[in-house]
Amino acid sequence: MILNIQKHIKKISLILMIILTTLTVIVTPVVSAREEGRCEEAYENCVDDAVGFFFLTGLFLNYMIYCTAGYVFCKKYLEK
Amino acid sequence: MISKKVIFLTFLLAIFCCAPFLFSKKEPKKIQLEEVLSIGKLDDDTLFQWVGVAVDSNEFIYVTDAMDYSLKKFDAQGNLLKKEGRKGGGPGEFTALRYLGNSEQFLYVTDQYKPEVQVFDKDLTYQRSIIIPVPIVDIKILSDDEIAVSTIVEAQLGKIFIFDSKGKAKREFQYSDKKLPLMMDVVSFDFDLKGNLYLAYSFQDKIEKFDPKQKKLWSKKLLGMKEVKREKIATFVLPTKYLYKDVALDSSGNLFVLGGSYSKNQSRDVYVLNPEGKLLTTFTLPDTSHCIYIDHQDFLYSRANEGITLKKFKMKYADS
Repeated sequence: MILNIQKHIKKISLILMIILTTLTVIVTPVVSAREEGRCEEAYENCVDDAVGFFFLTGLFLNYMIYCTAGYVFCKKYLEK
Repeated sequence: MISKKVIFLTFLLAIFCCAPFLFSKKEPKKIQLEEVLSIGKLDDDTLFQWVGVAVDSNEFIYVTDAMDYSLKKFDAQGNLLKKEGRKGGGPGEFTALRYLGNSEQFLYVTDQYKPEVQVFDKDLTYQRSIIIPVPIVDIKILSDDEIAVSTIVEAQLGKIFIFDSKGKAKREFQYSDKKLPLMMDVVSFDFDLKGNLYLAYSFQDKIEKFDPKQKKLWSKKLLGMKEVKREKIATFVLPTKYLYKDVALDSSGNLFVLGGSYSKNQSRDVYVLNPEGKLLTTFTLPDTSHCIYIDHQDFLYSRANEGITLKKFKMKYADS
């Protein structure tokens, strides 16, 4: 699977850079979430944004994975 | 002749008697923390929200500061020597700074929304980027040609991926033997000098050790939990609380595990296991932390003031 992803990474990285700005907007609420439940809220917002890429399967899956990575970090860093 | 034999036997006896003390590893029954350094205060702008820390053999301390979009270098006294980086998507720039690994020569910095690891020299000068095509949950630098990362996988077996300096997947270290629901095989990990892998599951009550041939040596539950609470969030069912947040090894091979939400003192309790997986002791950090780091001199680093402060502790080992 890794090898397959590597083949596509060059194509995907360009598109990823374009959505980087959008993602950066998502980072802000994730990082500033201080209360319990805010990580869930940020995740829901991120998934909502990802749905916009639903028909671009590769991009959608990448987006979803990075939403999940944001959730994992949010839980680790901000919640006891 | 007899006296030589007597001397030789006495010598052997002395070696035999002293061996446990000469060759035994430090196996503490109790650990007390003594704060030796504190970097960043609530009323200064040294650190804003640090995430990753690494200490080199010259005792320089390197920190990623997510809210300041920068990589920072401090001396052993905690003086800020240099700061590099800014917000952006270019080389040497950051969007969501995360973890930090170091080798003798370089620093390896992860960014949550960039599929790469940025490499800096010890003067914080950007060198190059290595494409890593998976989101990085934890990173350990085994050498400049072996970058180990744990990631999030779905409908696959949990694996640690080891990439070379060009970003090519060199090998995989499979640690789970069955496919698990999303996020349930997220782990923090560390390798000892012999290549044994230690890992703590973030959302399962499981701490494990594998030998370099990927054979599981032991598996431990410290919290006595059978099932972890999961909730439906945006059509996905996800775990909502961490069990174990981070792991680190000391120079004697003891494993330090930072507990999460289910520990008595949330995100403060640290469990210490010997290399055979026996729980030796538990101690509590003065403040909640997302990570623990142990340097080559066995000083422990953790967070305070929600990421504004980095604390360094001397660990005082007691036998009783």
